[in-house]
Amino acid sequence: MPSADRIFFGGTVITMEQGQPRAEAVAVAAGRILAVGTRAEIEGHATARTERVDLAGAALLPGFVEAHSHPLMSAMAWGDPVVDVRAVHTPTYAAVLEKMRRRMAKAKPGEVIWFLGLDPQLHAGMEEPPREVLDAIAPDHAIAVQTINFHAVFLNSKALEVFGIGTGYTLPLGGQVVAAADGKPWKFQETAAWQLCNRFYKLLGEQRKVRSFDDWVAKFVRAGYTTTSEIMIEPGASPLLQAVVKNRRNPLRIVGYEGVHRGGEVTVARDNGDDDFRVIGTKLHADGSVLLGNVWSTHPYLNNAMTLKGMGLPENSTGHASLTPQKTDELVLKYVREGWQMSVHAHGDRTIDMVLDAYEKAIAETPGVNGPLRIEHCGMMREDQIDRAIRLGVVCSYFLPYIYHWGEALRDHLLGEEAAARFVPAGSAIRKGMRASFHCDSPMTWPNALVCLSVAVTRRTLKGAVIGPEQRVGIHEALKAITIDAAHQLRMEDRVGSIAPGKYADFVILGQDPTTCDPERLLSIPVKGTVLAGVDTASFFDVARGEADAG
Amino acid sequence: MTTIPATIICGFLGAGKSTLLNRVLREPGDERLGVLVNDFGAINIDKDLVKVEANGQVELTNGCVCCSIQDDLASGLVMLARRAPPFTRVILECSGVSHPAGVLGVFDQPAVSAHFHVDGVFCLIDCASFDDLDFQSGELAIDQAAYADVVLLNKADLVGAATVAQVGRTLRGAQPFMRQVTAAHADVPLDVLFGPRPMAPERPMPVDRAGADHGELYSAFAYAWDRPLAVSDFARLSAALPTGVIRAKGILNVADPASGESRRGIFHLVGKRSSLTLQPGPAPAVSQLVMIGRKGAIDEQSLARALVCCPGVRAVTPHRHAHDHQPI
Repeated sequence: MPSADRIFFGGTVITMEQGQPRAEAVAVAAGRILAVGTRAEIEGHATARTERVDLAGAALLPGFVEAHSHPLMSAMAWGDPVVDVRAVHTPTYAAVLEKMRRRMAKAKPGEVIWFLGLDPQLHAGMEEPPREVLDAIAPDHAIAVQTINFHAVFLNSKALEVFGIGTGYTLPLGGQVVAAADGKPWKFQETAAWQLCNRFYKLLGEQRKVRSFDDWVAKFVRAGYTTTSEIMIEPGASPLLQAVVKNRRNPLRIVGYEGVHRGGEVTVARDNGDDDFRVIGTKLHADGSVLLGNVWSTHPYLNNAMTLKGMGLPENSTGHASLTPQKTDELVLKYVREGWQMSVHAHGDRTIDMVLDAYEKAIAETPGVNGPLRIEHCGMMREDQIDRAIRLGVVCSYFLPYIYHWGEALRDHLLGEEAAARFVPAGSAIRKGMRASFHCDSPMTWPNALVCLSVAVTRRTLKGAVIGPEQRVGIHEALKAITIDAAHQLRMEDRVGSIAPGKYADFVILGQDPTTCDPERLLSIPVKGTVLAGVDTASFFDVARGEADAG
Repeated sequence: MTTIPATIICGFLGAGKSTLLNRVLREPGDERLGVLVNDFGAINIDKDLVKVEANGQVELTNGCVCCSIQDDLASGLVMLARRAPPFTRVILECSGVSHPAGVLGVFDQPAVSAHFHVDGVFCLIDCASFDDLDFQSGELAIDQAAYADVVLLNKADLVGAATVAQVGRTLRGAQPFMRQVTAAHADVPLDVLFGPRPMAPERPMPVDRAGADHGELYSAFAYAWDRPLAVSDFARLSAALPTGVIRAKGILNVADPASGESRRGIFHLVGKRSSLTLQPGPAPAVSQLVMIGRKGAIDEQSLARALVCCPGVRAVTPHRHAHDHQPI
C-alpha cells in the first residue's frame, strides 16, 4: 500500500465528490491526495514518517477556487501611493474630498496621487467630481480619482499635462471619454480608464508590483482560496506574473486570461506555464458597470438624484455596450478558433444577447471548442438567457458580493425591486443545471469566499436586507460554485476543486462546518488556513499578519 | 447569562492610552478590573499598589489584574473571563497601530461574545502631534477615531484652543457624527468611561464617582418619570438628545410594545451609540435617566426639547459620590 506523507483526521472532511461526500480522514503523498476514507482505512497508509494532522473538530474542504479575479491588478490598483477612499471607511462624498485634501497637504513636489474607490451608490451626496474641484484640491500636483468599479477615472488639469493628454488624444478601442467645461478630456471610461491606470503603474516601477502582489496573494490565502484567476492580463504582462509566482513558494494557483479588447495576437503560447500559473484563455469586455450605467439593457434605470446626478445618466437610460455586435462576433470567433477559452464580461441583458449570439456562431463554425465558454458577472441576465446558455454549454460566473455591498442601491436607486431581486440570478441558473461559479472580483471587492456563500444562501446584504430570496440556493450548491464548478470553469477540474485521489492536496480548513452552520452566521466562520499540494501555506510566508481586511 | 462589559481604549502611538489606563488602575472606583495591555513597560503602576507580579500578570492590591496579551486577543479574553472571582469589567488597550475593526471582530467571535459585550470604544488623539503625522499614520489615527464611540482630544493643555478645534474639525471631516471630548493628561471621569453606575431602585443614580475634580469640567443631568414610558416616545427622546451628551444610563419602566405590561428597560448611551433593552426583573417604580457631558457642551434647550418627548419628566439632583472608591 502506498505510504502517506501526511494524514488529516479528527474533523469533518467535505469532499465535494458525489460518490463520497463525507469522509473521516485524508491521506496525502507527494503533494497529491492518496486516499479518502474512514480513519481506519487511511491509517493503513501510515508509516513511521507519516505526519498526522489533527483537525480538532475543524472542517477540511477542497481549497476555495475563484473563477474570476484579478490579484495582480489588485496589487497594482491598491496600496501606497494609491489612496483608498472606499465608502466602507470614507462614507460620504464630502469625506472623500476631505481625505483628498488631507493627502494633498502631505504631497511632495512632483508626486502623482491616485484616489480609488469613489462610489456613486454608497458615497452619500456624490457628484462626479468637477474639474474645478479637482484643480482646487490639487493646483500643482497631478491627481486622478477612480470609481470603485474601476470603470471610470477623472483627471485634474495637471494630470492631463503629466499623462501627455492634449488635442492629439485618441481613444483606445472600447474606450469613452467625456470633456469638462474647459473642453479637455475629464472623465475616462472603460479601456480609456485602464490605459491611464497602466501609465500610472508604469510611473511607479516594477518593484512596487512585486511587493504589493504578495500582500494581495496573502489576502486570498487568508480567505481560504488555493486557486484563483487573473482574468484580464495586459498583453505582454504574463512573463512578469509568471516570474513573481515562480520566484517564491507559491501559495495560490493562478489561471490566466489575456485581455484582448484591442484585438491582435495573444502574447503567450497556448501551452505555456504550469499549474502554479498558466494562461488558458482570452477576455473581452462587452459592457461596463451597473454602478456606472454603461451596461446595455432592456430594463431602464430609475430616474432620481443618484442616477441622473451621481452617475450622470440621461433619463430612462438603458445604457450601451462597449463593443459592436460585429466586433464581438469577430473577436470571439478569432480566439475560439485559435483554441483559447473565451470569457466575456457582460452585465446588461442586451449585451448578454450579443455575447450569446457570438458564442452560438463561434460554436457552429468551430469543431471542438475549448470550453466551457464563459460569461462574467451576468447581473441582469434574463431567464430565457439562462436556458439558452445552458443549451449552448455556456457557463456563468456570478458576482454575488454585488448584492452584499450594493443590494440596497440596486433596489432603491438604480433598478427597482423586481430587477434587484433577480440581479445575479445564480439560483435560477443552478436549479436549471448550469455549473455556475461565484466570485468577488477583487479588486472591486476583497477576496472573501464566505461572502459568496452567505449571499448565495441568504441573499442578505451588509446592511441586513434580504434581496431576491427566490434566488437563494442550498449550502451544498453554493459550495460547489466556489470549489468544483469554479474549477470546471477554469479547466482545472481534473486537478483541483474536490477531495479525490489523484488531485492536488489543496485544502481549506474552516473552524466550523459550513453545511451545519446557521446560514446567518456563515460570515463568522474562521478560516484557519490553507494547504497547497499537501503543505500548509502559512509556512510559505507570513500570511497570518496583515491589516484587517475591511470590506 | 449576563456578559462582562468590555471597555476598549485605542489611539495612535503616544496618544495617552497608557496614561489613561494607569489613572484607571489607581482609582478603579467600585470596579474589579481585568486589563489586557500590549506593553507592560508603558504602564507605570505604583509599587505600593502591586500585590503580586508573575507570568506576565500584575495583581493589584485593589483587586484589579493587568495582563499582557500573550498569543492572541481572543484567548486572552477567554482566560480573563474564567478567573475567579469574576471581574466586573475588562479593559483592553489596543496597540497603537492596530485597526479597531479587527479588535471589534474578535468580540463577535462566539467564544468571546459568550463572555463579553463591548460597552464602549474610546479613542485618544494627541492634539499636539496630530498634524505632524505622515499621511498613513494620520489616516490610521482618524480610522481609529471614526470607529470609537467617544474621541478624547487629548493633550489639549499643550496646544491652543484653536489647534484643538482644528484637529476636531479634521476628524469630523472624516466622520461627521463623531463625539469628541477635550482632555488633558487623559483625564476623564470614570462615569464617562464606564457609564453612570447602576442605581438601587427608588434611589437617585450616583454620578461622578471618580473624584470631585471633574465636577468643574463635566456636568451631570438626572431626570425621573413616575409613570411608565412608551417605547416609541423614548426612542424619540433618545434620537433627539443633543450631541454633547457623552454618556447616559437609564433604568426605566417601559410599556412592553406587544403586551402593554410594565417592563424593566435599560438605556445605555456611549457617544454616538445607544440602545434600549428590555430585561427580566421587576420594572422600577420610577424611571430614571442620568446624562453626562463636558460642562457647557450640552445644549440645554435641545435637551429640554428631547425630554418632553416622554411626558411627565421631572429633574432630580444627581447624587455625587466624590469618594466612593471602595470595591463593592
